[in-house]
Amino acid sequence: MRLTEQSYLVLLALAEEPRHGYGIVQAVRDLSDGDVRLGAGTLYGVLDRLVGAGWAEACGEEVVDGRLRRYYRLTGQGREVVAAHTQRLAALARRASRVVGPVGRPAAGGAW
Amino acid sequence: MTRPDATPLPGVDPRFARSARRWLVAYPRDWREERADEVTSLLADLAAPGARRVGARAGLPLVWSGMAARRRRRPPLHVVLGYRALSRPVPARYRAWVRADLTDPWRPLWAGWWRLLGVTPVLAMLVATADATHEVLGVLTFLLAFAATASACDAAYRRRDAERHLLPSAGERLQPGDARRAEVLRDRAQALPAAEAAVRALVVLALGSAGCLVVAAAGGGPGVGIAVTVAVGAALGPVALRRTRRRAPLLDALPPQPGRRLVLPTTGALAAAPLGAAAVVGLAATTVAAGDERAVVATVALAAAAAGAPVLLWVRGWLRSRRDLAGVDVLRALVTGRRPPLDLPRPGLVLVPPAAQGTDGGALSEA
Repeated sequence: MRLTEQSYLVLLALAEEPRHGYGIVQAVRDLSDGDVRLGAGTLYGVLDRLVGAGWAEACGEEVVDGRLRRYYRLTGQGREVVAAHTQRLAALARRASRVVGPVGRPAAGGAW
Repeated sequence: MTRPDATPLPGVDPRFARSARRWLVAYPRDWREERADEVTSLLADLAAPGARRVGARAGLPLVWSGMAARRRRRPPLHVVLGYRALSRPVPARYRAWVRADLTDPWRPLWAGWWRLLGVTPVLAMLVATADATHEVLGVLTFLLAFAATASACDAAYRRRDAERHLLPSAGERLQPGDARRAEVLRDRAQALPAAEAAVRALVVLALGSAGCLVVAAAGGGPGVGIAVTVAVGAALGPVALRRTRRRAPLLDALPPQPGRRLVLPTTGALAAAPLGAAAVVGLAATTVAAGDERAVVATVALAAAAAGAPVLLWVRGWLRSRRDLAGVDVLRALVTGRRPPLDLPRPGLVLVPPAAQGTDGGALSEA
């Protein structure tokens, strides 16, 4: 399955600890620095695909304040996928910074 | 087996929960039954406090995602066609789809048509080359009779298909959602919904055959024979009603039936009687259009409706205060005058519950 940014963020959220739907939404928002706000439709689309690919699985449910929370966790395979993808991204970021120069420093060259 | 649709979530406004369920309609039915509460809870978490409904902004992605969920698990077209038209086996990975298909309450109303796929060209040719009304009506009657039969045989078809498609083959590991053989309780349909369906069939039969007779009479057919037959039918009605009322006490104080499960008839099964009545009306219309001036079929149908009306209407009223009676018991007692026998569990199939139902998803970890 193709790993989109949203799927990767959900995998990352689950890599930390098993979470329920709302927990995943919050974790993804924090991880993406507020950029990615998952809605229920998107989240369950992603979760269905991750469970279907065998990367995540449901692991129990509880009722809190009259609301049903089902928890999800990564499988061993999911953990490998998220580690491999993180390495790829890190390598890409290193190569990218060689091309565009270190981030956060003024670009070389004259200005007026 | 699954969480019923109407489970209230105490932490969610019921209006909000209803709105959420409407937005979830694009998901497969069994997905909804299993996870609607979870998604509704999340929607409530994400919504503004005090929200009474799910807005389009949150709802539309759910529709899209539901359609994608359906697409993802639907087998390729050639597998679907083979399964529907030829009842060919479906690969094990599509069992969830087959299971959802087999438990669809509306299934008999559309699944049967796939079996007609082979004769579609013949039927189309018959209609296209028909040079008389009665030929078109004949094809229509055939289709109605086919639909009625498919509805009536629904339970048997489902059992046969479940046996063919949901039982793992030898050596295969039993997965959540598969079926396995077991001694199961005998399913018996409730009598009241069946009686209501029979009354609907009666209305179709009476109105339809009367309409045919009006058309036949306008064409100058003899009216005396019709009037006599219908009068005889109407006279038989009270006689049958007396007999029915005499036998009804047989159904009082029945012993408990531990080997039985009382179920609601499926929507499709309930359609069998009205569809059958419509097929009879179609046959009557066909014969009238084909030139039968005495309108024999319509006359007999109207007489039968007149004879059956008092009994059916009385039984329906009588059953309203006896909702726990099974249709088969009522039929047996009223027709043969015998008390219902004890049902015993019998060999059948049970569905292994889906994994997400359990509190521990460990069964999937080996996948």
